[in-house]
Amino acid sequence: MTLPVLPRVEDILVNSATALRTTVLPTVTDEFAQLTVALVATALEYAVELLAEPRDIAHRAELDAALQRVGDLPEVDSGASAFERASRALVWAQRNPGPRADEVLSILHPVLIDQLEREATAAAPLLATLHAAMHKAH
Amino acid sequence: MSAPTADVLGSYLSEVLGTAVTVSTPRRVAMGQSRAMYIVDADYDGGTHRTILRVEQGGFLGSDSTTEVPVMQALHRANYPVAEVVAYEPTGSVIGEPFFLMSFVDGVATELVSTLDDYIRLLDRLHRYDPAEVGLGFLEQPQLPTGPANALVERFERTYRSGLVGEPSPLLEEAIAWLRIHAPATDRVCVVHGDPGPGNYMHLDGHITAVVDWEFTHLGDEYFDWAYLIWMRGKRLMDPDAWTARIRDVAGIDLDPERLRYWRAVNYLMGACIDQTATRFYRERVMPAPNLLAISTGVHLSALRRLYDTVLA
Repeated sequence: MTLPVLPRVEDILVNSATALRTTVLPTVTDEFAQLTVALVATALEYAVELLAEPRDIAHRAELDAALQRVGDLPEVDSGASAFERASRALVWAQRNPGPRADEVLSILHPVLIDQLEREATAAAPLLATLHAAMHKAH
Repeated sequence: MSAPTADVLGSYLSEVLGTAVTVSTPRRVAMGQSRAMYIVDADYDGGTHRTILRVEQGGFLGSDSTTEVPVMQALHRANYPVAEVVAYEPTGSVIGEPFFLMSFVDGVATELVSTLDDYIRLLDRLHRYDPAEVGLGFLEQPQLPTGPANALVERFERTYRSGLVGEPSPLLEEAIAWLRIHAPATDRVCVVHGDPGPGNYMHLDGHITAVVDWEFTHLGDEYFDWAYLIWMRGKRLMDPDAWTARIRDVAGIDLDPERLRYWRAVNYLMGACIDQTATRFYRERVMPAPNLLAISTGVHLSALRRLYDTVLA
Protein backbone atom coordinates (compact mmCIF):
# COMPACT_ATOMS: atom_id res chain seq x y z
CA MET A 1 0.00 0.00 0.00
CA THR A 2 1.39 3.36 -0.95
CA LEU A 3 0.12 6.86 -1.12
CA PRO A 4 0.88 7.96 -4.64
CA VAL A 5 -0.12 11.50 -3.80
CA LEU A 6 0.81 12.72 -0.34
CA PRO A 7 -1.15 15.55 1.28
CA ARG A 8 0.29 18.95 0.45
CA VAL A 9 1.63 21.00 3.35
CA GLU A 10 -0.30 24.05 2.16
CA ASP A 11 -3.58 22.12 2.16
CA ILE A 12 -2.96 20.79 5.65
CA LEU A 13 -2.29 24.29 6.97
CA VAL A 14 -5.18 26.00 5.16
CA ASN A 15 -7.69 23.31 6.07
CA SER A 16 -6.53 23.26 9.68
CA ALA A 17 -6.97 27.02 9.91
CA THR A 18 -10.45 26.77 8.39
CA ALA A 19 -11.43 23.99 10.78
CA LEU A 20 -10.26 26.00 13.73
CA ARG A 21 -12.23 29.05 12.64
CA THR A 22 -15.44 27.32 11.60
CA THR A 23 -15.63 24.34 13.96
CA VAL A 24 -13.57 24.99 17.07
CA LEU A 25 -13.72 28.74 17.62
CA PRO A 26 -17.53 29.03 17.73
CA THR A 27 -17.68 26.44 20.51
CA VAL A 28 -15.02 28.00 22.73
CA THR A 29 -16.34 30.15 25.55
CA ASP A 30 -13.17 30.80 27.55
CA GLU A 31 -11.73 34.20 26.58
CA PHE A 32 -8.07 33.15 26.64
CA ALA A 33 -8.80 29.98 24.68
CA GLN A 34 -10.67 32.04 22.07
CA LEU A 35 -7.62 34.26 21.61
CA THR A 36 -5.34 31.26 21.35
CA VAL A 37 -7.49 29.49 18.76
CA ALA A 38 -7.90 32.64 16.67
CA LEU A 39 -4.16 33.30 16.76
CA VAL A 40 -3.26 29.70 15.89
CA ALA A 41 -5.56 29.86 12.84
CA THR A 42 -3.97 33.14 11.77
CA ALA A 43 -0.49 31.72 12.39
CA LEU A 44 -1.27 28.80 10.08
CA GLU A 45 -2.28 31.20 7.34
CA TYR A 46 0.91 33.22 7.91
CA ALA A 47 2.86 29.98 7.52
CA VAL A 48 1.11 29.24 4.22
CA GLU A 49 2.33 32.56 2.84
CA LEU A 50 5.87 31.88 4.04
CA LEU A 51 5.86 28.50 2.34
CA ALA A 52 4.70 30.04 -0.91
CA GLU A 53 7.35 32.76 -0.84
CA PRO A 54 10.52 32.43 1.27
CA ARG A 55 10.88 36.16 1.71
CA ASP A 56 14.02 36.02 3.83
CA ILE A 57 16.06 34.81 0.84
CA ALA A 58 14.87 37.76 -1.22
CA HIS A 59 15.61 40.17 1.65
CA ARG A 60 19.23 38.98 1.91
CA ALA A 61 19.78 39.23 -1.84
CA GLU A 62 18.33 42.76 -2.01
CA LEU A 63 20.41 43.92 0.93
CA ASP A 64 23.53 42.32 -0.49
CA ALA A 65 22.99 44.18 -3.78
CA ALA A 66 22.51 47.46 -1.91
CA LEU A 67 25.71 46.89 0.06
CA GLN A 68 27.58 46.37 -3.20
CA ARG A 69 26.45 49.85 -4.18
CA VAL A 70 27.57 51.24 -0.82
CA GLY A 71 31.08 49.90 -1.33
CA ASP A 72 33.80 49.54 1.30
CA LEU A 73 33.45 51.21 4.69
CA PRO A 74 35.64 51.22 7.81
CA GLU A 75 34.47 48.80 10.54
CA VAL A 76 32.43 46.76 8.06
CA ASP A 77 33.71 43.20 7.61
CA SER A 78 33.14 42.17 4.01
CA GLY A 79 32.87 38.53 5.07
CA ALA A 80 29.95 39.07 7.43
CA SER A 81 26.30 38.46 6.56
CA ALA A 82 24.30 41.12 4.72
CA PHE A 83 22.35 42.05 7.85
CA GLU A 84 25.54 42.27 9.91
CA ARG A 85 27.24 44.47 7.30
CA ALA A 86 24.17 46.68 6.93
CA SER A 87 24.01 47.10 10.72
CA ARG A 88 27.64 48.12 10.93
CA ALA A 89 27.33 50.46 7.96
CA LEU A 90 24.35 52.26 9.46
CA VAL A 91 25.97 52.60 12.89
CA TRP A 92 29.13 53.91 11.19
CA ALA A 93 27.01 56.47 9.31
CA GLN A 94 25.45 57.72 12.54
CA ARG A 95 28.86 58.08 14.17
CA ASN A 96 30.48 59.73 11.16
CA PRO A 97 28.05 62.29 9.75
CA GLY A 98 28.86 63.78 6.37
CA PRO A 99 28.32 63.21 2.65
CA ARG A 100 29.55 59.60 2.75
CA ALA A 101 27.22 58.80 5.65
CA ASP A 102 24.33 60.43 3.81
CA GLU A 103 25.10 58.26 0.80
CA VAL A 104 25.09 55.09 2.93
CA LEU A 105 21.76 56.00 4.50
CA SER A 106 20.20 56.95 1.16
CA ILE A 107 21.06 53.52 -0.27
CA LEU A 108 20.26 51.26 2.69
CA HIS A 109 17.21 52.93 4.20
CA PRO A 110 14.86 52.47 1.23
CA VAL A 111 15.77 48.79 0.91
CA LEU A 112 15.27 48.09 4.62
CA ILE A 113 12.05 50.09 4.87
CA ASP A 114 10.63 48.32 1.82
CA GLN A 115 11.40 44.97 3.47
CA LEU A 116 9.93 46.16 6.76
CA GLU A 117 6.71 47.15 5.01
CA ARG A 118 6.41 43.83 3.21
CA GLU A 119 6.86 41.94 6.48
CA ALA A 120 4.44 44.23 8.27
CA THR A 121 1.84 43.56 5.60
CA ALA A 122 2.33 39.81 5.94
CA ALA A 123 2.02 40.04 9.73
CA ALA A 124 -0.96 42.43 9.71
CA PRO A 125 -3.57 39.71 10.31
CA LEU A 126 -1.61 38.44 13.34
CA LEU A 127 -1.43 41.97 14.71
CA ALA A 128 -5.13 42.58 14.12
CA THR A 129 -6.11 39.35 15.86
CA LEU A 130 -3.93 40.11 18.86
CA HIS A 131 -5.19 43.69 19.17
CA ALA A 132 -8.83 42.68 18.85
CA ALA A 133 -8.40 40.18 21.67
CA MET A 134 -6.54 42.64 23.89
CA HIS A 135 -9.21 45.31 23.50
CA LYS A 136 -11.93 42.80 24.22
CA ALA A 137 -10.10 41.70 27.38
CA HIS A 138 -9.99 45.25 28.74
CA MET B 1 5.46 26.03 32.80
CA SER B 2 2.26 24.04 33.28
CA ALA B 3 -0.91 25.76 34.44
CA PRO B 4 -0.89 26.35 38.21
CA THR B 5 -3.34 24.13 40.08
CA ALA B 6 -5.70 24.97 42.93
CA ASP B 7 -4.07 22.35 45.18
CA VAL B 8 -0.56 23.69 44.75
CA LEU B 9 -1.62 27.31 45.22
CA GLY B 10 -3.79 26.40 48.22
CA SER B 11 -0.90 24.65 49.95
CA TYR B 12 1.44 27.51 49.18
CA LEU B 13 -0.94 30.18 50.47
CA SER B 14 -1.74 28.16 53.60
CA GLU B 15 1.94 28.11 54.44
CA VAL B 16 2.55 31.77 53.59
CA LEU B 17 -0.55 33.15 55.31
CA GLY B 18 -0.37 30.76 58.27
CA THR B 19 -3.97 29.64 57.96
CA ALA B 20 -5.92 27.02 56.04
CA VAL B 21 -6.58 28.28 52.51
CA THR B 22 -8.61 26.63 49.78
CA VAL B 23 -8.30 27.98 46.29
CA SER B 24 -10.53 27.94 43.22
CA THR B 25 -9.26 26.61 39.91
CA PRO B 26 -7.16 29.44 38.45
CA ARG B 27 -8.91 31.00 35.44
CA ARG B 28 -6.56 32.37 32.79
CA VAL B 29 -7.40 35.82 31.50
CA ALA B 30 -6.34 37.27 28.16
CA MET B 31 -4.97 40.51 29.60
CA GLY B 32 -1.24 41.16 29.68
CA GLN B 33 1.54 39.74 27.55
CA SER B 34 4.64 39.57 29.72
CA ARG B 35 2.96 37.47 32.39
CA ALA B 36 0.42 34.69 32.51
CA MET B 37 -2.50 36.14 34.46
CA TYR B 38 -5.16 34.18 36.34
CA ILE B 39 -8.11 35.03 38.55
CA VAL B 40 -7.90 33.02 41.76
CA ASP B 41 -10.46 32.98 44.58
CA ALA B 42 -8.91 32.09 47.93
CA ASP B 43 -11.09 31.09 50.89
CA TYR B 44 -9.64 31.80 54.32
CA ASP B 45 -10.55 33.53 57.57
CA GLY B 46 -14.23 32.97 56.85
CA GLY B 47 -14.29 34.86 53.56
CA THR B 48 -13.54 34.62 49.88
CA HIS B 49 -10.65 36.80 48.73
CA ARG B 50 -10.42 37.36 44.99
CA THR B 51 -6.85 37.71 43.80
CA ILE B 52 -4.91 38.05 40.57
CA LEU B 53 -2.09 35.60 40.01
CA ARG B 54 0.75 37.03 37.92
CA VAL B 55 3.20 34.41 36.71
CA GLU B 56 6.53 35.18 35.07
CA GLN B 57 7.31 33.63 31.72
CA GLY B 58 11.06 33.11 31.77
CA GLY B 59 11.91 36.78 31.33
CA PHE B 60 9.69 37.18 28.29
CA LEU B 61 9.52 40.85 27.20
CA GLY B 62 12.55 41.61 29.33
CA SER B 63 10.94 41.94 32.71
CA ASP B 64 10.55 40.07 35.96
CA SER B 65 9.01 40.62 39.38
CA THR B 66 12.17 41.49 41.28
CA THR B 67 11.50 45.21 41.14
CA GLU B 68 7.79 45.09 40.30
CA VAL B 69 6.77 43.55 43.64
CA PRO B 70 8.77 45.85 45.97
CA VAL B 71 7.69 48.86 43.88
CA MET B 72 4.04 47.88 44.30
CA GLN B 73 4.51 47.25 48.01
CA ALA B 74 6.21 50.61 48.55
CA LEU B 75 3.62 52.57 46.59
CA HIS B 76 0.76 50.73 48.29
CA ARG B 77 2.24 51.79 51.64
CA ALA B 78 2.45 55.37 50.30
CA ASN B 79 -1.30 55.24 49.60
CA TYR B 80 -0.81 55.38 45.86
CA PRO B 81 -3.62 53.40 44.15
CA VAL B 82 -1.84 50.08 43.70
CA ALA B 83 -3.15 46.60 44.41
CA GLU B 84 -1.85 45.01 47.59
CA VAL B 85 0.61 42.18 47.06
CA VAL B 86 -0.74 39.18 48.99
CA ALA B 87 2.15 36.79 48.42
CA TYR B 88 5.36 36.69 46.36
CA GLU B 89 7.13 33.50 45.37
CA PRO B 90 10.42 34.52 43.70
CA THR B 91 12.16 31.15 43.34
CA GLY B 92 10.05 29.30 40.79
CA SER B 93 10.05 26.23 43.05
CA VAL B 94 6.26 26.12 43.55
CA ILE B 95 4.85 26.22 40.01
CA GLY B 96 7.99 26.34 37.88
CA GLU B 97 8.14 30.13 37.51
CA PRO B 98 8.20 33.01 40.00
CA PHE B 99 4.81 34.53 40.66
CA PHE B 100 2.90 36.82 42.93
CA LEU B 101 -0.69 37.18 44.00
CA MET B 102 -2.25 40.59 44.38
CA SER B 103 -5.63 41.63 45.66
CA PHE B 104 -8.32 41.99 43.00
CA VAL B 105 -9.33 45.60 42.50
CA ASP B 106 -12.81 46.37 41.23
CA GLY B 107 -13.00 48.24 37.96
CA VAL B 108 -12.28 48.00 34.28
CA ALA B 109 -9.31 49.09 32.22
CA THR B 110 -11.27 50.50 29.30
CA GLU B 111 -10.39 53.85 27.77
CA LEU B 112 -12.61 56.46 29.41
CA VAL B 113 -12.04 60.13 28.61
CA SER B 114 -13.62 61.36 31.84
CA THR B 115 -10.85 59.67 33.89
CA LEU B 116 -7.94 61.23 31.99
CA ASP B 117 -7.50 64.34 34.10
CA ASP B 118 -7.38 62.28 37.29
CA TYR B 119 -4.89 59.97 35.63
CA ILE B 120 -2.64 62.85 34.55
CA ARG B 121 -2.68 64.11 38.16
CA LEU B 122 -1.82 60.64 39.44
CA LEU B 123 1.07 60.27 37.03
CA ASP B 124 2.36 63.72 37.98
CA ARG B 125 2.06 62.75 41.65
CA LEU B 126 4.17 59.66 41.00
CA HIS B 127 6.82 61.77 39.29
CA ARG B 128 6.97 64.17 42.22
CA TYR B 129 7.65 61.52 44.85
CA ASP B 130 11.05 61.52 46.49
CA PRO B 131 12.07 57.91 45.74
CA ALA B 132 13.78 57.43 49.10
CA GLU B 133 10.83 58.85 51.04
CA VAL B 134 8.36 56.36 49.53
CA GLY B 135 10.68 53.38 49.92
CA LEU B 136 11.98 53.25 46.36
CA GLY B 137 15.57 54.09 47.21
CA PHE B 138 16.57 50.57 46.17
CA LEU B 139 15.99 51.38 42.49
CA GLU B 140 19.12 52.16 40.52
CA GLN B 141 19.84 55.90 40.51
CA PRO B 142 21.07 57.19 37.13
CA GLN B 143 23.56 60.05 37.08
CA LEU B 144 22.37 63.40 35.79
CA PRO B 145 22.32 64.84 33.25
CA THR B 146 22.35 62.08 30.59
CA GLY B 147 22.34 58.97 32.78
CA PRO B 148 18.56 58.44 32.59
CA ALA B 149 18.63 58.29 28.79
CA ASN B 150 21.80 56.24 28.50
CA ALA B 151 20.80 53.77 31.20
CA LEU B 152 17.48 53.04 29.57
CA VAL B 153 18.90 52.71 26.05
CA GLU B 154 21.51 50.30 27.44
CA ARG B 155 18.85 48.30 29.25
CA PHE B 156 16.72 47.91 26.16
CA GLU B 157 19.75 47.15 24.01
CA ARG B 158 20.62 44.28 26.38
CA THR B 159 17.07 43.01 26.09
CA TYR B 160 17.23 43.22 22.28
CA ARG B 161 20.53 41.34 22.13
CA SER B 162 19.18 38.65 24.46
CA GLY B 163 16.42 38.01 21.94
CA LEU B 164 18.50 37.92 18.78
CA VAL B 165 18.42 34.79 16.69
CA GLY B 166 21.24 34.66 14.17
CA GLU B 167 21.05 38.10 12.57
CA PRO B 168 21.01 41.67 13.91
CA SER B 169 18.31 44.18 12.95
CA PRO B 170 20.09 46.97 10.99
CA LEU B 171 17.56 49.72 11.65
CA LEU B 172 17.38 48.88 15.34
CA GLU B 173 21.18 48.91 15.60
CA GLU B 174 21.23 52.30 13.88
CA ALA B 175 18.52 53.69 16.15
CA ILE B 176 20.43 52.58 19.26
CA ALA B 177 23.50 54.42 17.95
CA TRP B 178 21.42 57.54 17.25
CA LEU B 179 19.88 57.49 20.74
CA ARG B 180 23.31 57.14 22.37
CA ILE B 181 24.70 60.07 20.39
CA HIS B 182 21.71 62.32 21.07
CA ALA B 183 21.02 61.52 24.75
CA PRO B 184 19.36 64.63 26.24
CA ALA B 185 19.86 66.11 29.66
CA THR B 186 17.42 65.25 32.42
CA ASP B 187 16.91 67.90 35.08
CA ARG B 188 15.70 65.68 37.94
CA VAL B 189 15.39 61.96 38.58
CA CYS B 190 11.79 60.77 38.99
CA VAL B 191 9.91 57.60 39.68
CA VAL B 192 8.89 56.56 36.15
CA HIS B 193 6.01 54.14 35.72
CA GLY B 194 7.36 52.79 32.44
CA ASP B 195 4.11 51.70 30.78
CA PRO B 196 1.58 54.39 31.65
CA GLY B 197 -1.75 55.32 30.20
CA PRO B 198 -5.23 54.07 29.34
CA GLY B 199 -5.43 50.30 29.64
CA ASN B 200 -2.99 50.28 32.53
CA TYR B 201 -5.25 51.70 35.15
CA MET B 202 -8.54 50.45 36.50
CA HIS B 203 -11.54 52.67 37.06
CA LEU B 204 -14.98 52.25 38.53
CA ASP B 205 -17.85 54.74 38.32
CA GLY B 206 -15.47 57.31 36.87
CA HIS B 207 -12.92 56.98 39.68
CA ILE B 208 -9.47 55.44 39.30
CA THR B 209 -9.16 52.41 41.58
CA ALA B 210 -5.67 51.12 40.71
CA VAL B 211 -2.68 51.74 38.49
CA VAL B 212 -1.30 48.46 37.17
CA ASP B 213 1.73 46.95 35.38
CA TRP B 214 4.74 48.13 37.37
CA GLU B 215 7.26 45.82 35.75
CA PHE B 216 9.13 48.59 33.90
CA THR B 217 9.16 51.10 36.75
CA HIS B 218 12.53 52.75 37.21
CA LEU B 219 14.17 55.99 38.29
CA GLY B 220 14.67 58.26 35.31
CA ASP B 221 13.17 61.02 33.20
CA GLU B 222 9.46 61.81 33.51
CA TYR B 223 9.42 62.53 29.78
CA PHE B 224 9.53 58.78 29.19
CA ASP B 225 6.09 58.51 30.79
CA TRP B 226 4.61 61.61 29.18
CA ALA B 227 5.73 60.49 25.72
CA TYR B 228 4.38 57.01 26.39
CA LEU B 229 1.05 58.41 27.53
CA ILE B 230 0.73 60.64 24.48
CA TRP B 231 2.00 58.38 21.67
CA MET B 232 1.60 54.84 22.93
CA ARG B 233 -1.33 54.23 25.22
CA GLY B 234 -3.19 57.50 24.70
CA LYS B 235 -2.93 57.91 20.95
CA ARG B 236 -6.43 56.64 20.19
CA LEU B 237 -8.05 59.08 22.60
CA MET B 238 -6.50 62.41 21.63
CA ASP B 239 -3.99 63.76 19.17
CA PRO B 240 -0.55 64.73 20.52
CA ASP B 241 -1.28 68.47 20.56
CA ALA B 242 -4.44 67.91 22.57
CA TRP B 243 -2.52 65.70 25.00
CA THR B 244 0.26 68.24 25.56
CA ALA B 245 -2.32 70.98 26.09
CA ARG B 246 -4.22 68.83 28.55
CA ILE B 247 -1.07 67.90 30.48
CA ARG B 248 -0.19 71.60 30.65
CA ASP B 249 -3.68 72.53 31.86
CA VAL B 250 -4.03 69.73 34.40
CA ALA B 251 -0.47 69.30 35.73
CA GLY B 252 1.08 72.63 34.80
CA ILE B 253 3.83 70.95 32.78
CA ASP B 254 4.92 72.60 29.55
CA LEU B 255 6.53 69.75 27.65
CA ASP B 256 9.53 70.53 25.44
CA PRO B 257 8.80 69.13 21.95
CA GLU B 258 12.38 68.12 21.10
CA ARG B 259 12.97 66.38 24.41
CA LEU B 260 9.60 64.71 23.99
CA ARG B 261 10.64 63.45 20.55
CA TYR B 262 13.72 61.79 21.99
CA TRP B 263 11.74 60.01 24.70
CA ARG B 264 9.05 59.02 22.24
CA ALA B 265 11.82 57.29 20.31
CA VAL B 266 12.96 55.55 23.52
CA ASN B 267 9.36 54.35 23.96
CA TYR B 268 9.47 52.80 20.50
CA LEU B 269 12.93 51.39 21.19
CA MET B 270 11.53 49.74 24.29
CA GLY B 271 8.72 48.19 22.26
CA ALA B 272 10.96 46.92 19.49
CA CYS B 273 13.55 45.53 21.93
CA ILE B 274 11.24 43.77 24.36
CA ASP B 275 9.32 42.31 21.42
CA GLN B 276 12.61 40.86 20.18
CA THR B 277 12.55 38.42 23.11
CA ALA B 278 9.50 36.80 21.52
CA THR B 279 11.62 35.90 18.49
CA ARG B 280 13.98 33.74 20.51
CA PHE B 281 11.30 32.31 22.79
CA TYR B 282 9.22 31.25 19.79
CA ARG B 283 12.13 30.01 17.72
CA GLU B 284 13.57 27.93 20.57
CA ARG B 285 10.09 26.74 21.56
CA VAL B 286 10.51 28.07 25.09
CA MET B 287 6.88 29.18 24.88
CA PRO B 288 4.46 27.81 22.27
CA ALA B 289 1.86 30.56 22.67
CA PRO B 290 0.85 31.99 19.27
CA ASN B 291 0.84 35.54 20.59
CA LEU B 292 4.64 35.31 20.49
CA LEU B 293 4.50 35.02 16.72
CA ALA B 294 2.33 38.14 16.54
CA ILE B 295 4.62 40.03 18.92
CA SER B 296 7.85 39.02 17.20
CA THR B 297 6.50 40.05 13.79
CA GLY B 298 3.67 42.57 13.61
CA VAL B 299 4.08 44.23 17.00
CA HIS B 300 7.87 44.43 16.69
CA LEU B 301 7.74 45.85 13.17
CA SER B 302 5.15 48.43 14.15
CA ALA B 303 7.42 49.77 16.90
CA LEU B 304 10.48 49.64 14.64
CA ARG B 305 8.72 51.59 11.89
CA ARG B 306 7.70 54.31 14.35
CA LEU B 307 11.21 54.42 15.76
CA TYR B 308 12.57 54.90 12.25
CA ASP B 309 10.02 57.62 11.43
CA THR B 310 10.75 59.45 14.69
CA VAL B 311 14.52 59.74 14.52
CA LEU B 312 16.03 58.13 11.42
CA ALA B 313 13.86 59.10 8.47
